[in-house]
Amino acid sequence: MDRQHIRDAQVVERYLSGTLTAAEEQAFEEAYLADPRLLEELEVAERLRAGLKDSSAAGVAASPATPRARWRELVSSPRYGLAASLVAVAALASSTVLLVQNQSLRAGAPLAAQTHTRLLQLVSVRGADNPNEIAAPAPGEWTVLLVDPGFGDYDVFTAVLVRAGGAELLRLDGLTPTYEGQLALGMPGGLLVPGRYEIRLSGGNRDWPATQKLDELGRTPLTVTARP
Amino acid sequence: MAEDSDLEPQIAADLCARIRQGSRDAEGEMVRRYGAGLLYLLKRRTRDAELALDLRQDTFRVAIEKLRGATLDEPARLAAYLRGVALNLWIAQQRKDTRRATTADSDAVEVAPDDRAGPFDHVSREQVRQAVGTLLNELGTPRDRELLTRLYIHDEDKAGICAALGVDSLHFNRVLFRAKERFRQLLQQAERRSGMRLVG
Repeated sequence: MDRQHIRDAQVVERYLSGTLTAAEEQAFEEAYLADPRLLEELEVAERLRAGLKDSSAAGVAASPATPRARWRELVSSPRYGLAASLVAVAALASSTVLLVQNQSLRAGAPLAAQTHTRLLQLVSVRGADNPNEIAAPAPGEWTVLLVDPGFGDYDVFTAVLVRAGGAELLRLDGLTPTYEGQLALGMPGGLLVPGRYEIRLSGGNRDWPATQKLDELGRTPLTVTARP
Repeated sequence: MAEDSDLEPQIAADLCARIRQGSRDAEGEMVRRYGAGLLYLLKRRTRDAELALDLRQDTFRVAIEKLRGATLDEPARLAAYLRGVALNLWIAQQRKDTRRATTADSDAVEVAPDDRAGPFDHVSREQVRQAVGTLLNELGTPRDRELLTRLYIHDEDKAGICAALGVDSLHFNRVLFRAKERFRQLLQQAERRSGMRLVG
């Protein structure tokens, strides 16, 4: 009985609720006897189940959210996160436009406008070929790359966009997860000319000493192809 | 790199062969490798922690005596053999038969397995309840909370929950994985606050 099947078929939860077939139960018990990680996962799920039932019986799980909880719920909801991200991106884009306009006015050049924003979700698949391939954004387009920071116990992240060959193009510090727990990396589309890139992600906690280095979390490859 | 669980058939067969050759180290390795899982299994069946400990001890007595004198038909499935011995002893116990199902000498199991049932033994019921409250507050949406409620309190199946909440299988897996991972962290924090030793 492999991990993928255990996850996809909810074997842990069905074992706890006593709804596995006899053959499934035997296979699962043989699996966790020899697998401490699976055994721990089972024990976590058992306590979660017991705790939820306990809280439900005490009326905690079913009670309406407190005002603070409602406030947190609103702030931490995906919709709020997406809206906040878009507002932030729009604000950033507007600032960039104003900056460009300002520079253009000073130089006497015609005004430039950045009127489009693209959200692109990147995936990180261990051992797989690079699954992230996008067409080059237009030079006036704002691009936001969404990167999953994973499940580590970190609350602040740094992302570095590196071009193949090692040239660092962009560094974003102090990132926090927003929409669906992902990190939003905003950048001018003109930065992403055709070529191969890598996003290097590192994470840490706000209460870490300033001298402590962030933990390296992974590298997400990205290929930018020529615009059609 | 292969995970330890991927190598289970080779590890199990190697343990059987070494025990057959008289290696006491291998007996100890077997007890350490399968002890925690056997105890969990027996506690779940017996609902009696003391009885589970006794049955686990007897399981290893029977197994070591067997493995010292003969080979298993399928040594790569040592876990299955141990499970079978444990459940047979439990059935015998239920029938009021003697739990001394072996004549092995008292030092047959020289390595005492860890008597703890699991890594979160020292987390109190109240701490578990608090961890659940924290987790529910941290979940992104009411829909995610309902997903956990339907799964763990009402024992609904995945397909039914996905249909009722309008989420796909991947989203379901992701919410559940994140919830369990976060809950594990909260339990570890509670365990540390209890000032007890953490394992794993």
